[in-house]
Amino acid sequence: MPNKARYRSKIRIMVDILRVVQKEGETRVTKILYGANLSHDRLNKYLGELMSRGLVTSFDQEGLTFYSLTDKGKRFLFEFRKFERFAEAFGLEI
Amino acid sequence: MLGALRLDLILELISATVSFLVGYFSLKAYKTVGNKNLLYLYFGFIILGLGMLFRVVSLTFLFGTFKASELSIPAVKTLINYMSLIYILLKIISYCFFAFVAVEQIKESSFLPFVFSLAPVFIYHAQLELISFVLICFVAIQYLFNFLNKRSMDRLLVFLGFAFITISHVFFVFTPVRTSLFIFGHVSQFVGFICLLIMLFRISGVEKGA
Repeated sequence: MPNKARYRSKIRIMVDILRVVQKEGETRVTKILYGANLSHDRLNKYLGELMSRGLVTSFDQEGLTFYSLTDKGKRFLFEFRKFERFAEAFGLEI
Repeated sequence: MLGALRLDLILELISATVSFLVGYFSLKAYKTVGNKNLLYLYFGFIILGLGMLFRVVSLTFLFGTFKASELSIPAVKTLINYMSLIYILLKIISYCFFAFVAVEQIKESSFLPFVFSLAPVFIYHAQLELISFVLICFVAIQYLFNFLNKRSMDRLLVFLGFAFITISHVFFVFTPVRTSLFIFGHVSQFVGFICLLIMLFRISGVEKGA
């Protein structure tokens, strides 16, 4: 099997971020960086988009910024899981 | 008019409804996920559903108005022939979409097999049923490999769905030899769509927080 890097679509990256945030609950950017395997710049770009879509929210606590999923974000992940399974049933990768 | 509805039409109406449901789900998935193959699945299932619905509505209408109309038996036969032609053409178009999605899954895919599979439609009219069989057979085999690659109940249901639809074509092909095979064909097609419906129900009821 050739060593081929798996291409991650934009939606896949955003879902990876959302899943890390969901798993961690209220989390800091460093954990998301490792969990979603992204560079700091790219993560900031995606986090900005996720927040503008209302899927993730941020808040400051003791001078640190934390991120958490909104209800909309939770609903989106739930819906995405269904569509991911549907695509997977037909052998399609997202 | 309702008395004219035959069992095959009822089964086909249910199958068409399931096809629309799967198509609708594919479109929703496409809008969220953005994978073009989901859009092709949507086109395939919607066109297939339209084909079945067309057959149900047109035959029901024909049976319902036959006595009242002054159409002769040969005229009705000709009408049914044209209806069947539209029906099978719509089926072939939808199968082409499914075949395209299946071809896309093959890593060394090219557009060529798809074009080759489509070409005979325009060349040799009389073998439409056979062409649709070849197309759906290809799709079913692809979904068999899909299941064998990674075994899951959802993949098995998709394979079974297309396998039963493929078997229905075998029954339809041999209908001139034995008329009773016609209803077996519709039952098989119906079972295929029920498999797809079960898959859809399983996915729609996916556990929260997954």
